[in-house]
Amino acid sequence: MPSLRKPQVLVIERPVDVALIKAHMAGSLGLEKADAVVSNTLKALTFPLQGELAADQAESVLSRLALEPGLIGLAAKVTKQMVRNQLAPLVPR
Amino acid sequence: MCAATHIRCGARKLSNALSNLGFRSACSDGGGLTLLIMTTRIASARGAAADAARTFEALAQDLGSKATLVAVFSSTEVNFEGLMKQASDRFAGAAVIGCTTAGEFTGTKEGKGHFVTWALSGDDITVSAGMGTGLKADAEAALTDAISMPPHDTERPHRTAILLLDPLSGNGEEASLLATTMLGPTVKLAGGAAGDDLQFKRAVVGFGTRVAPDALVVAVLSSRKPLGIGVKHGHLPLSKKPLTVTKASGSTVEEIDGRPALSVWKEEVKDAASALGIDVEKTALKDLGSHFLRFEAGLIAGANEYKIRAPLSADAKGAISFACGLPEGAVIRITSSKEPDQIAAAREAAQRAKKALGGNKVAGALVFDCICRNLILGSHFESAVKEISGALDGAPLAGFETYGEIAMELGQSSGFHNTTTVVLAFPS
Repeated sequence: MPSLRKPQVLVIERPVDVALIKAHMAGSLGLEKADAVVSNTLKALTFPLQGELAADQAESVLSRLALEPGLIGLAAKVTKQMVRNQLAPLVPR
Repeated sequence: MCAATHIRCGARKLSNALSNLGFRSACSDGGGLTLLIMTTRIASARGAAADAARTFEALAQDLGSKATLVAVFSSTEVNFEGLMKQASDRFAGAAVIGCTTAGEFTGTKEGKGHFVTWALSGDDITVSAGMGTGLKADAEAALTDAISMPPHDTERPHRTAILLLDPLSGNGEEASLLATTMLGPTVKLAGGAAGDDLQFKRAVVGFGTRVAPDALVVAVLSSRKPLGIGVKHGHLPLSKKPLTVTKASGSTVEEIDGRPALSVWKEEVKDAASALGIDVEKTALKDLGSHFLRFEAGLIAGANEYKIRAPLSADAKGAISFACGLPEGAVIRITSSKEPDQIAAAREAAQRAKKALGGNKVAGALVFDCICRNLILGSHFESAVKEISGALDGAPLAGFETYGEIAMELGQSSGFHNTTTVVLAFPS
């Protein structure tokens, strides 16, 4: 069985809207917290705060967020997977 | 066409008899018969410790064919380890998974102090299961041990994982999110956090004859048709304005809007509680628990969408402990819950699961329903279970009252729920 600790390396291949990243992150963090952590990271990386991010910018934002401890980091890892695989966020129910 | 079974025989009577045993409608072939595959069959049963062997035997008889997956959900009053051994012996070759509960039910009966069991047969669905321990210390390592990912199956392209975990390890939400990243984005996830009849001391999960606390079990199902997941809670926002968590550590919220969390909570629920004859200011700290369940926190997760976070207790400093983490900066509303809404939510979860089957009939279901909903509904909880059963056309189901519900549909980024009903429906 392949190691699950080392999943296949994939990268985001298309531009990603900031709103999509926030919507995915909101599933675990709530809208406002997701908005805050994503916006802070965008500012730190001097990326645009809204609109479309280039694929490598989106990868950088989510990789940086994924290093955060606790729920934020985990939510970012899940989001990165969803975005890489171009899955639209479903509304949490 | 299925490559597995391909039997030819010549009698229509045999066709009917086989159909009754669960074989899919056969192709008529000039009076002959081409038998393709066994369809999914599901059975469930409820029993007491004293008649466990008889209960498993009845389940096997009802199922009528070799089980591939068996679930056992048991009160702590029953010897869970013994049940898992009996089930593993009786259903040799099947993946047997289970956990202790805070209540257990089938589609017709709910109660405490018993166990329920559920079995699946047929070759529409294959199962690959495992167990990991040491959840608290290293959730990723536990998941690595538990996840046994089957090779890609072109005939069974749909993947759904069932996750059972010990919530007393304190990282149920983290484990659910990690499971999603490790299973991959094309695997749906459903499951529940084990219970221990509200003792909050020892909740265990089991796989085969292995039983352990601080552990999790993952069963990955590969199916010809998609399984259906339905999720719904019955809470509505009560507070007029959003409230911000301003000081928190893990699952303990110390301050909301810069004030002690309990003070804010009392202020927000005072009028609604008073209408129910409850004076929250005069209620002793130790007695606040049941009132917390009526007025839970709703994490704003979308337009008019809330994820429920269950407050469990408060301390003398006014901090409130929740069932899972709420980070600083999270914005919540206090929600309220009425019995009819809770019952309707259970029905809607089942309807959503059935709808997700895409028109296929329901063969059966597993249900993960929060113990908080039982505490809210009291004796009417069984009505909610019957609503679920009715919405699933009376198909066999089994479930338990959880300390947390897990549901992750494709594309969803939120997996661990409180005070919510999760229904996993299986197509026939």
